[in-house]
Amino acid sequence: MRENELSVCNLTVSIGDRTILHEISFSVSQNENITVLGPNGAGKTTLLKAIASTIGFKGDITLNGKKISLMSPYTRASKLGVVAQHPDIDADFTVKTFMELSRYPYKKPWERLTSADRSIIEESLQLTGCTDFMDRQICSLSGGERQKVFIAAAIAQDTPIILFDEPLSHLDPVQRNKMSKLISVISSERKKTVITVTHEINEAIQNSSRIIVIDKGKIAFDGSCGDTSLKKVLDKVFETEFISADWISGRQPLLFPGEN
Amino acid sequence: MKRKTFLIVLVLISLAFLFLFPFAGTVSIPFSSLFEDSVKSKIFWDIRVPRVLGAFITGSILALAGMAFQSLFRNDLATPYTLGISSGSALGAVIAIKFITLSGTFHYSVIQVFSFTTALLTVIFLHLLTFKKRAESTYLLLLAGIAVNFTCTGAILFIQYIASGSESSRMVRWMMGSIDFIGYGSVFKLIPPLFFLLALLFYFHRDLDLISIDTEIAVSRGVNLAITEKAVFFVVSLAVAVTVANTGPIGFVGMIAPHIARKLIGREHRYLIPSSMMSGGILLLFSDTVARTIIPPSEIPVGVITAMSGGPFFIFILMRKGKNG
Repeated sequence: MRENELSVCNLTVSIGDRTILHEISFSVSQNENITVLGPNGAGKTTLLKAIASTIGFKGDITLNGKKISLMSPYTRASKLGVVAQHPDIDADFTVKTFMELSRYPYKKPWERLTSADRSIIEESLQLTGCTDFMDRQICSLSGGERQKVFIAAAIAQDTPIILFDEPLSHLDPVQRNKMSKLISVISSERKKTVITVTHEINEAIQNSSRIIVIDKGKIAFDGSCGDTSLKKVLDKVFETEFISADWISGRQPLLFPGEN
Repeated sequence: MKRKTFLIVLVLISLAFLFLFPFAGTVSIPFSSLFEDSVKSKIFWDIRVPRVLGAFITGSILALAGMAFQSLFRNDLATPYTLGISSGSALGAVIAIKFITLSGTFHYSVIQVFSFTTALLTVIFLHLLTFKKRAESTYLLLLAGIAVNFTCTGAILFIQYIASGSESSRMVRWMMGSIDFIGYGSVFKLIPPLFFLLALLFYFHRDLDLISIDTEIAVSRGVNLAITEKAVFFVVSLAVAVTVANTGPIGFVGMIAPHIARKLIGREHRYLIPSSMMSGGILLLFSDTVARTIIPPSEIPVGVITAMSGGPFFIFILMRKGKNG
């Protein structure tokens, strides 16, 4: 077994009488950069929550052969970082304090941060462009700035796997592109496994190493971005004919929703 | 640095109040008479010092309890008082006053035991009702607290209605809340709850930081939500039950003191815990000193002072908050 291999086997999630995910199976190797696409209500966020073990599920989700749901919260937090959707958080903590809390899994309550902790926090702030507002309160930041802080905190948590739920929401097009590339860098240069759930099809196609499309709780596609069948699957899943625009040479074509 | 300065100022005010307030009272006590074998010396050491210490410790516990609940449930209205724990405790005291006919200090102990037990029963009821439904537990808990308050108030009014005149006046007196400690017995009873509460809250200070931001973020950082919530909820409730059994319900300190501390020092719990503790201690000590000196030689129950000053003060804070956005 390869290091940091995440395996999802026959995952089924039900809420009340409704089954959100039906027997999903796939595995993820170290430093893969996977994007999960799908229409609203397909079960994408539910998939991330199941991997993070914050909701109940049937089936097995293992990391290096060990069930994630059976890990202690501390161990789990040292293996899996999560950037969830947090548009409503109104915390009056400074960005600096919030970042310091990202080292929680590695510290006893009475332990102080070491210079190594501080340097990883500083590096994460620099990488995400948050250094300028590190002394500001989170509640005073714009939606985009907050999103960058949450991503910086996940990087500072320094886990082999990071789960991103809509990390590009609240960002302007330039920041969205930067952040999407940053996620790609986190995966390739820092050898981290990244699983991103997003609606941004073009950013996903340009920057991911693998795409999983979920439709009605089942995997409709699992393959590389260059796979010619991807567009057909997206057409079917989103019930529209995407228009493909080959604007930039050497890059994947951009997709725009059709009229119907 | 600003936060540390505030903490030092709070320590200095606490020490000044603890040192000076035993000298305040109807009987003037000069410093020179403190170590003489005299009535004044006895008043100072056996009545005023325990009372001043009792007021400070009670205020500290109530403020820490309020701060812990407000952080745990991310709501400034969540305090032991608003959650019905104090009225549960009052119901126990009223039952003991009406139905247990004993005399003297033993009866007082029975009242304390009843008050403590019913406070605990209230806590268990709230826990069973809300912790299984974690997602909506804050609103559910506050609504359950209101329901518990109404139910206990109804039961208390009924018992008062069937009680004799003297029983009824004792009930009213108990429910007003006061720190009329004589000797150090009650002070010693309050030291262990304060110690355990402080130790627990400092142990969980980072958990409380994260939970007060967002429970989902807290879980993703590795906080064991179930253990933290249960430990804090039960230890805080036990500390409050012991305190209220000794003093009667004293409202608003648990709501206002953490609010002041947060304004001064922010939400980071390693600073918020000591500042809430000292703010609560200072607030109740000041209120109690006003209560026993404002119309000499009689005393007003401190619960009356805290409620009368706390209510308008809280409205002032809320209005100011609204103005500043």
